[in-house]
Amino acid sequence: MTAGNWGFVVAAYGLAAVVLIAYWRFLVRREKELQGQGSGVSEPQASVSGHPRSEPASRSPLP
Amino acid sequence: MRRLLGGVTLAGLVAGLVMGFAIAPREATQGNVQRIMYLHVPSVWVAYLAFGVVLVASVVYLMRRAEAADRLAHASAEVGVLFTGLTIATGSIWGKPTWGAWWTWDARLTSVSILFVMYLGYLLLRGMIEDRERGARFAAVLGIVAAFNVPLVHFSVYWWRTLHQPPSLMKPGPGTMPDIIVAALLVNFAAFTLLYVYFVTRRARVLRLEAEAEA
Amino acid sequence: MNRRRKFIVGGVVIAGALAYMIYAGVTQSAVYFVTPAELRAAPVPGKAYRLGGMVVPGSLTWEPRSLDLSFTLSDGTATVPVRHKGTPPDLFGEGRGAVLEGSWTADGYFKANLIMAKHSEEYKAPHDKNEAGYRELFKTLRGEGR
Repeated sequence: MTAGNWGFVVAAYGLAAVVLIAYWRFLVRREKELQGQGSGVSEPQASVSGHPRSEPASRSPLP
Repeated sequence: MRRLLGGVTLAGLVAGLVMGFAIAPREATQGNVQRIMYLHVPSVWVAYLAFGVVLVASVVYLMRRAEAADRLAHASAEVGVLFTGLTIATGSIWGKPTWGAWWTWDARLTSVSILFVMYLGYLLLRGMIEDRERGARFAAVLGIVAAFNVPLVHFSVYWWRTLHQPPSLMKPGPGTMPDIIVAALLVNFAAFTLLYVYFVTRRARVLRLEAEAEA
Repeated sequence: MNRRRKFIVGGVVIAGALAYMIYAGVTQSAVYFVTPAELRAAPVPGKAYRLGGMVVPGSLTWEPRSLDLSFTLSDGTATVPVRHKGTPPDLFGEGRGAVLEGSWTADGYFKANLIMAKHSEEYKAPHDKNEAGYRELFKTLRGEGR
Protein backbone atom coordinates (compact mmCIF):
# COMPACT_ATOMS: atom_id res chain seq x y z
CA MET A 1 0.00 0.00 0.00
CA THR A 2 2.64 2.51 1.00
CA ALA A 3 5.27 1.02 -1.28
CA GLY A 4 3.77 2.40 -4.48
CA ASN A 5 3.17 5.79 -2.98
CA TRP A 6 6.85 6.77 -3.08
CA GLY A 7 6.31 7.20 -6.80
CA PHE A 8 3.93 10.07 -6.15
CA VAL A 9 6.35 11.67 -3.67
CA VAL A 10 9.25 11.41 -6.12
CA ALA A 11 7.08 12.78 -8.94
CA ALA A 12 6.03 15.82 -6.88
CA TYR A 13 9.55 16.67 -5.68
CA GLY A 14 11.05 15.95 -9.09
CA LEU A 15 8.59 18.24 -10.82
CA ALA A 16 9.22 21.02 -8.30
CA ALA A 17 12.98 20.67 -8.71
CA VAL A 18 12.76 20.85 -12.51
CA VAL A 19 10.47 23.91 -12.46
CA LEU A 20 12.44 25.85 -9.85
CA ILE A 21 15.83 25.12 -11.40
CA ALA A 22 14.51 26.06 -14.86
CA TYR A 23 13.24 29.41 -13.55
CA TRP A 24 16.52 30.08 -11.76
CA ARG A 25 18.46 29.33 -14.93
CA PHE A 26 16.17 31.61 -16.92
CA LEU A 27 16.90 34.47 -14.50
CA VAL A 28 20.67 33.87 -14.63
CA ARG A 29 20.73 33.65 -18.43
CA ARG A 30 18.58 36.72 -18.95
CA GLU A 31 20.69 38.76 -16.58
CA LYS A 32 23.89 37.70 -18.37
CA GLU A 33 22.37 38.61 -21.74
CA LEU A 34 21.36 42.06 -20.60
CA GLN A 35 24.68 42.77 -18.96
CA GLY A 36 26.50 41.53 -22.05
CA GLN A 37 24.63 43.82 -24.46
CA GLY A 38 25.03 46.83 -22.14
CA SER A 39 27.95 49.25 -22.40
CA GLY A 40 30.10 46.77 -20.49
CA VAL A 41 30.54 49.04 -17.52
CA SER A 42 29.09 46.59 -15.02
CA GLU A 43 31.24 43.49 -15.48
CA PRO A 44 34.17 43.96 -17.85
CA GLN A 45 35.84 40.64 -16.99
CA ALA A 46 32.89 38.73 -18.33
CA SER A 47 33.67 39.57 -21.96
CA VAL A 48 37.30 38.53 -22.16
CA SER A 49 36.60 35.84 -24.71
CA GLY A 50 33.69 37.71 -26.19
CA HIS A 51 31.41 35.03 -24.76
CA PRO A 52 29.84 36.10 -21.51
CA ARG A 53 29.04 32.59 -20.29
CA SER A 54 32.46 31.05 -20.70
CA GLU A 55 33.96 32.70 -17.65
CA PRO A 56 33.43 30.49 -14.59
CA ALA A 57 34.32 33.29 -12.21
CA SER A 58 31.42 35.39 -13.43
CA ARG A 59 28.89 32.69 -12.78
CA SER A 60 26.62 32.91 -9.81
CA PRO A 61 26.50 30.21 -7.18
CA LEU A 62 23.58 27.84 -6.97
CA PRO A 63 20.88 29.02 -6.77
CA MET B 1 24.86 40.06 -0.78
CA ARG B 2 22.98 38.19 -3.46
CA ARG B 3 25.40 35.28 -3.21
CA LEU B 4 24.85 35.19 0.52
CA LEU B 5 21.08 35.13 0.08
CA GLY B 6 21.41 32.39 -2.55
CA GLY B 7 23.62 30.33 -0.29
CA VAL B 8 21.35 30.67 2.73
CA THR B 9 18.32 29.81 0.58
CA LEU B 10 20.00 26.68 -0.76
CA ALA B 11 20.98 25.64 2.77
CA GLY B 12 17.38 26.22 3.88
CA LEU B 13 15.98 24.10 1.09
CA VAL B 14 18.39 21.28 1.91
CA ALA B 15 17.43 21.56 5.59
CA GLY B 16 13.77 21.41 4.55
CA LEU B 17 14.36 18.21 2.60
CA VAL B 18 16.23 16.66 5.54
CA MET B 19 13.39 17.63 7.89
CA GLY B 20 10.72 16.33 5.54
CA PHE B 21 12.34 13.01 4.66
CA ALA B 22 14.70 12.04 7.45
CA ILE B 23 13.39 13.68 10.64
CA ALA B 24 9.62 13.76 10.20
CA PRO B 25 7.93 10.38 10.59
CA ARG B 26 5.71 8.65 8.09
CA GLU B 27 2.23 9.96 8.75
CA ALA B 28 -0.01 7.27 10.27
CA THR B 29 -3.09 7.57 8.03
CA GLN B 30 -1.78 8.79 4.69
CA GLY B 31 1.61 7.14 4.67
CA ASN B 32 4.51 8.68 2.80
CA VAL B 33 2.47 10.77 0.37
CA GLN B 34 1.92 13.17 3.26
CA ARG B 35 5.52 14.31 2.66
CA ILE B 36 4.26 16.13 -0.44
CA MET B 37 2.73 18.54 2.07
CA TYR B 38 6.21 19.97 2.80
CA LEU B 39 6.20 21.18 -0.79
CA HIS B 40 2.53 21.92 -1.32
CA VAL B 41 1.76 24.07 1.72
CA PRO B 42 4.92 26.28 1.61
CA SER B 43 4.25 26.78 -2.12
CA VAL B 44 0.78 28.14 -1.51
CA TRP B 45 2.16 30.30 1.29
CA VAL B 46 4.64 31.83 -1.17
CA ALA B 47 1.77 32.39 -3.62
CA TYR B 48 -0.26 34.21 -0.94
CA LEU B 49 2.79 36.26 0.02
CA ALA B 50 3.64 37.06 -3.60
CA PHE B 51 0.15 38.28 -4.45
CA GLY B 52 0.04 40.28 -1.22
CA VAL B 53 3.26 41.99 -2.33
CA VAL B 54 1.70 42.64 -5.75
CA LEU B 55 -1.23 44.33 -3.99
CA VAL B 56 0.96 46.58 -1.84
CA ALA B 57 3.39 47.42 -4.65
CA SER B 58 0.47 48.22 -6.97
CA VAL B 59 -1.06 50.62 -4.44
CA VAL B 60 2.33 52.27 -3.95
CA TYR B 61 2.77 52.58 -7.71
CA LEU B 62 -0.60 54.24 -8.17
CA MET B 63 0.18 56.69 -5.37
CA ARG B 64 3.80 57.53 -6.14
CA ARG B 65 4.30 56.40 -9.75
CA ALA B 66 7.60 54.83 -8.69
CA GLU B 67 8.87 52.48 -11.39
CA ALA B 68 10.63 50.33 -8.82
CA ALA B 69 7.25 49.54 -7.23
CA ASP B 70 5.89 48.58 -10.65
CA ARG B 71 8.82 46.27 -11.29
CA LEU B 72 8.40 44.71 -7.84
CA ALA B 73 4.72 44.03 -8.58
CA HIS B 74 5.59 42.50 -11.93
CA ALA B 75 8.35 40.28 -10.52
CA SER B 76 6.24 39.20 -7.56
CA ALA B 77 3.26 38.32 -9.77
CA GLU B 78 5.45 36.13 -11.96
CA VAL B 79 6.92 34.27 -8.99
CA GLY B 80 3.42 33.99 -7.51
CA VAL B 81 2.12 32.36 -10.69
CA LEU B 82 5.07 29.95 -10.64
CA PHE B 83 4.30 28.87 -7.07
CA THR B 84 0.54 28.72 -7.63
CA GLY B 85 1.24 26.35 -10.50
CA LEU B 86 3.46 24.26 -8.24
CA THR B 87 0.76 24.22 -5.57
CA ILE B 88 -1.82 22.93 -8.05
CA ALA B 89 0.51 20.33 -9.58
CA THR B 90 1.78 18.94 -6.26
CA GLY B 91 -1.74 18.97 -4.85
CA SER B 92 -2.98 16.98 -7.81
CA ILE B 93 -0.18 14.43 -7.42
CA TRP B 94 -1.11 14.15 -3.72
CA GLY B 95 -4.82 13.92 -4.44
CA LYS B 96 -4.61 10.82 -6.64
CA PRO B 97 -3.34 8.42 -3.96
CA THR B 98 -5.13 10.16 -1.08
CA TRP B 99 -8.55 11.09 -2.41
CA GLY B 100 -8.62 8.73 -5.35
CA ALA B 101 -8.88 11.55 -7.91
CA TRP B 102 -6.37 13.83 -9.64
CA TRP B 103 -8.90 16.63 -9.79
CA THR B 104 -12.39 17.62 -8.70
CA TRP B 105 -14.25 20.91 -8.96
CA ASP B 106 -14.68 21.69 -5.29
CA ALA B 107 -14.50 25.28 -4.08
CA ARG B 108 -10.83 25.13 -3.05
CA LEU B 109 -9.62 23.69 -6.35
CA THR B 110 -11.87 25.94 -8.41
CA SER B 111 -10.86 29.10 -6.58
CA VAL B 112 -7.15 28.35 -6.77
CA SER B 113 -7.51 27.71 -10.52
CA ILE B 114 -9.21 31.08 -10.90
CA LEU B 115 -6.38 32.68 -8.90
CA PHE B 116 -3.81 31.07 -11.19
CA VAL B 117 -5.52 32.09 -14.42
CA MET B 118 -6.21 35.66 -13.25
CA TYR B 119 -2.54 36.30 -12.55
CA LEU B 120 -1.61 34.63 -15.83
CA GLY B 121 -3.92 37.21 -17.36
CA TYR B 122 -2.13 39.89 -15.36
CA LEU B 123 1.22 38.84 -16.86
CA LEU B 124 -0.32 38.75 -20.33
CA LEU B 125 -1.73 42.23 -19.89
CA ARG B 126 1.70 43.48 -18.87
CA GLY B 127 3.20 42.19 -22.10
CA MET B 128 0.32 43.36 -24.24
CA ILE B 129 0.23 47.10 -23.70
CA GLU B 130 3.02 48.86 -25.56
CA ASP B 131 2.90 52.12 -23.67
CA ARG B 132 4.94 51.52 -20.52
CA GLU B 133 3.20 53.92 -18.22
CA ARG B 134 -0.28 52.98 -19.32
CA GLY B 135 0.50 49.25 -19.04
CA ALA B 136 1.83 49.73 -15.53
CA ARG B 137 -1.31 51.62 -14.50
CA PHE B 138 -3.68 48.95 -15.87
CA ALA B 139 -1.60 46.19 -14.31
CA ALA B 140 -1.65 47.95 -10.93
CA VAL B 141 -5.45 48.10 -10.99
CA LEU B 142 -5.70 44.42 -11.94
CA GLY B 143 -3.08 43.56 -9.32
CA ILE B 144 -5.26 45.15 -6.66
CA VAL B 145 -8.53 43.61 -7.87
CA ALA B 146 -7.13 40.09 -8.28
CA ALA B 147 -5.75 40.09 -4.74
CA PHE B 148 -9.28 39.59 -3.44
CA ASN B 149 -8.99 36.03 -4.68
CA VAL B 150 -6.44 35.16 -2.02
CA PRO B 151 -8.86 35.15 0.96
CA LEU B 152 -11.42 33.44 -1.27
CA VAL B 153 -8.98 30.57 -1.84
CA HIS B 154 -7.91 30.35 1.78
CA PHE B 155 -11.38 30.44 3.35
CA SER B 156 -13.17 28.47 0.62
CA VAL B 157 -12.88 25.33 2.73
CA TYR B 158 -14.93 27.04 5.47
CA TRP B 159 -17.42 28.87 3.27
CA TRP B 160 -18.39 25.93 1.07
CA ARG B 161 -18.53 22.15 1.29
CA THR B 162 -15.31 20.86 -0.20
CA LEU B 163 -13.34 17.69 -0.66
CA HIS B 164 -10.20 19.52 0.39
CA GLN B 165 -9.63 19.48 4.14
CA PRO B 166 -9.42 22.70 6.18
CA PRO B 167 -5.96 24.07 7.06
CA SER B 168 -3.99 22.49 9.89
CA LEU B 169 -1.40 25.20 10.35
CA MET B 170 -2.44 28.53 8.81
CA LYS B 171 -5.39 28.96 11.18
CA PRO B 172 -6.17 29.97 14.77
CA GLY B 173 -6.99 27.41 17.44
CA PRO B 174 -5.35 24.23 18.70
CA GLY B 175 -2.98 22.29 16.49
CA THR B 176 -3.97 19.13 14.67
CA MET B 177 -0.45 17.97 13.90
CA PRO B 178 2.41 16.50 15.94
CA ASP B 179 5.20 18.97 16.76
CA ILE B 180 7.71 17.22 14.55
CA ILE B 181 5.53 17.66 11.45
CA VAL B 182 4.93 21.30 12.39
CA ALA B 183 8.69 21.80 12.75
CA ALA B 184 9.38 20.25 9.34
CA LEU B 185 6.73 22.48 7.80
CA LEU B 186 8.12 25.62 9.44
CA VAL B 187 11.64 24.94 8.15
CA ASN B 188 10.19 24.58 4.66
CA PHE B 189 8.14 27.76 5.10
CA ALA B 190 11.33 29.65 5.95
CA ALA B 191 13.27 28.14 3.05
CA PHE B 192 10.51 28.88 0.55
CA THR B 193 10.17 32.44 1.82
CA LEU B 194 13.90 32.94 1.25
CA LEU B 195 13.56 31.42 -2.21
CA TYR B 196 10.73 33.87 -2.90
CA VAL B 197 12.88 36.85 -1.86
CA TYR B 198 15.78 35.54 -3.93
CA PHE B 199 13.66 35.03 -7.04
CA VAL B 200 11.82 38.35 -6.77
CA THR B 201 14.94 40.44 -6.24
CA ARG B 202 16.64 38.77 -9.18
CA ARG B 203 13.59 39.10 -11.40
CA ALA B 204 13.17 42.76 -10.48
CA ARG B 205 16.84 43.32 -11.34
CA VAL B 206 16.35 41.72 -14.75
CA LEU B 207 13.32 43.96 -15.30
CA ARG B 208 15.38 47.01 -14.42
CA LEU B 209 18.14 45.97 -16.84
CA GLU B 210 15.49 45.43 -19.52
CA ALA B 211 14.08 48.90 -18.94
CA GLU B 212 17.58 50.41 -19.11
CA ALA B 213 18.36 48.53 -22.31
CA GLU B 214 15.17 49.86 -23.90
CA ALA B 215 15.82 53.44 -22.86
CA MET C 1 0.87 42.36 -35.97
CA ASN C 2 2.19 38.90 -35.11
CA ARG C 3 2.79 39.97 -31.54
CA ARG C 4 -0.71 41.37 -31.40
CA ARG C 5 -2.19 38.11 -32.64
CA LYS C 6 -0.29 36.18 -29.99
CA PHE C 7 -1.79 38.34 -27.28
CA ILE C 8 -5.28 38.02 -28.71
CA VAL C 9 -4.98 34.22 -28.73
CA GLY C 10 -3.60 34.30 -25.18
CA GLY C 11 -6.38 36.59 -24.05
CA VAL C 12 -9.07 34.37 -25.57
CA VAL C 13 -7.57 31.26 -23.94
CA ILE C 14 -7.44 32.97 -20.55
CA ALA C 15 -10.94 34.39 -20.83
CA GLY C 16 -12.24 30.97 -21.89
CA ALA C 17 -10.52 29.20 -19.02
CA LEU C 18 -11.82 31.77 -16.56
CA ALA C 19 -15.36 31.47 -17.91
CA TYR C 20 -15.22 27.68 -17.65
CA MET C 21 -13.92 27.82 -14.07
CA ILE C 22 -16.59 30.26 -12.99
CA TYR C 23 -19.17 28.01 -14.64
CA ALA C 24 -17.73 24.99 -12.81
CA GLY C 25 -17.72 27.02 -9.59
CA VAL C 26 -21.37 27.98 -9.87
CA THR C 27 -22.62 24.56 -11.00
CA GLN C 28 -20.33 22.29 -8.98
CA SER C 29 -18.41 24.02 -6.19
CA ALA C 30 -21.22 26.09 -4.71
CA VAL C 31 -22.96 22.90 -3.61
CA TYR C 32 -20.12 20.44 -4.00
CA PHE C 33 -22.04 17.58 -2.44
CA VAL C 34 -25.42 16.87 -0.88
CA THR C 35 -25.74 15.14 2.47
CA PRO C 36 -27.72 11.92 3.01
CA ALA C 37 -30.47 13.95 4.73
CA GLU C 38 -30.75 16.29 1.73
CA LEU C 39 -30.84 13.38 -0.69
CA ARG C 40 -33.49 11.61 1.40
CA ALA C 41 -35.62 14.76 1.42
CA ALA C 42 -36.03 14.84 -2.36
CA PRO C 43 -34.44 11.88 -4.19
CA VAL C 44 -34.71 11.88 -7.97
CA PRO C 45 -34.01 8.44 -9.52
CA GLY C 46 -31.45 8.55 -12.30
CA LYS C 47 -30.20 12.04 -11.45
CA ALA C 48 -26.46 12.48 -10.94
CA TYR C 49 -25.46 13.51 -7.45
CA ARG C 50 -22.35 14.04 -5.46
CA LEU C 51 -23.02 12.62 -2.00
CA GLY C 52 -20.87 13.36 1.04
CA GLY C 53 -20.86 11.85 4.50
CA MET C 54 -19.26 9.35 6.84
CA VAL C 55 -19.03 5.61 6.28
CA VAL C 56 -21.03 4.01 9.14
CA PRO C 57 -18.76 1.69 11.16
CA GLY C 58 -19.73 -1.94 10.71
CA SER C 59 -21.64 -1.32 7.48
CA LEU C 60 -18.81 -1.95 5.01
CA THR C 61 -18.65 -5.16 3.00
CA TRP C 62 -16.31 -5.81 0.08
CA GLU C 63 -16.14 -8.84 -2.16
CA PRO C 64 -12.57 -8.80 -3.58
CA ARG C 65 -13.36 -11.20 -6.41
CA SER C 66 -16.43 -9.48 -7.82
CA LEU C 67 -15.29 -6.04 -6.54
CA ASP C 68 -18.76 -5.50 -5.09
CA LEU C 69 -18.60 -2.84 -2.41
CA SER C 70 -21.49 -1.84 -0.21
CA PHE C 71 -21.78 0.40 2.83
CA THR C 72 -24.01 2.94 4.53
CA LEU C 73 -23.25 6.64 4.34
CA SER C 74 -24.44 8.88 7.17
CA ASP C 75 -24.47 12.56 8.08
CA GLY C 76 -25.66 11.99 11.64
CA THR C 77 -29.34 12.50 10.86
CA ALA C 78 -30.02 10.28 7.85
CA THR C 79 -28.36 7.32 6.17
CA VAL C 80 -28.15 6.14 2.56
CA PRO C 81 -27.27 2.61 1.40
CA VAL C 82 -24.52 2.70 -1.22
CA ARG C 83 -23.31 0.17 -3.76
CA HIS C 84 -20.19 0.39 -5.89
CA LYS C 85 -18.13 -1.82 -8.16
CA GLY C 86 -14.38 -1.34 -7.95
CA THR C 87 -11.47 -0.79 -5.61
CA PRO C 88 -11.86 2.19 -3.25
CA PRO C 89 -8.91 4.55 -2.54
CA ASP C 90 -6.50 3.60 0.26
CA LEU C 91 -7.88 6.13 2.69
CA PHE C 92 -11.47 4.97 2.29
CA GLY C 93 -12.77 3.12 5.34
CA GLU C 94 -15.30 2.82 8.13
CA GLY C 95 -15.67 5.87 10.32
CA ARG C 96 -14.02 8.08 7.68
CA GLY C 97 -15.43 10.72 5.38
CA ALA C 98 -16.14 10.04 1.73
CA VAL C 99 -17.56 11.90 -1.26
CA LEU C 100 -19.31 9.77 -3.89
CA GLU C 101 -20.25 10.52 -7.47
CA GLY C 102 -23.17 8.54 -8.77
CA SER C 103 -26.93 8.43 -8.96
CA TRP C 104 -29.94 7.49 -6.93
CA THR C 105 -31.66 4.35 -8.18
CA ALA C 106 -35.35 3.50 -8.18
CA ASP C 107 -34.46 0.42 -6.13
CA GLY C 108 -33.68 2.63 -3.14
CA TYR C 109 -29.90 2.70 -3.05
CA PHE C 110 -27.18 5.04 -4.24
CA LYS C 111 -25.11 3.69 -7.10
CA ALA C 112 -21.62 5.19 -6.80
CA ASN C 113 -19.43 5.47 -9.91
CA LEU C 114 -16.53 7.17 -8.15
CA ILE C 115 -15.49 7.06 -4.51
CA MET C 116 -13.27 9.80 -3.13
CA ALA C 117 -11.88 9.67 0.39
CA LYS C 118 -12.26 12.90 2.33
CA HIS C 119 -9.17 13.51 4.38
CA SER C 120 -9.35 15.24 7.77
CA GLU C 121 -6.98 18.02 8.79
CA GLU C 122 -5.54 15.81 11.54
CA TYR C 123 -2.10 14.32 11.17
CA LYS C 124 -0.62 11.65 13.38
CA ALA C 125 2.80 10.17 13.86
CA PRO C 126 2.88 6.39 13.52
CA HIS C 127 3.02 4.39 16.74
CA ASP C 128 6.57 3.39 16.02
CA LYS C 129 8.29 6.71 16.58
CA ASN C 130 11.62 5.47 15.21
CA GLU C 131 10.25 4.99 11.74
CA ALA C 132 11.90 7.97 10.09
CA GLY C 133 11.43 8.65 6.41
CA TYR C 134 14.74 7.45 5.05
CA ARG C 135 14.42 4.11 6.86
CA GLU C 136 11.00 3.71 5.31
CA LEU C 137 12.46 4.54 1.92
CA PHE C 138 15.26 1.99 2.26
CA LYS C 139 12.74 -0.61 3.36
CA THR C 140 10.69 0.09 0.25
CA LEU C 141 13.76 -0.05 -1.97
CA ARG C 142 14.61 -3.45 -0.52
CA GLY C 143 11.14 -4.54 -1.51
CA GLU C 144 9.80 -5.06 1.97
CA GLY C 145 6.77 -2.90 1.44
CA ARG C 146 5.43 -1.63 4.72
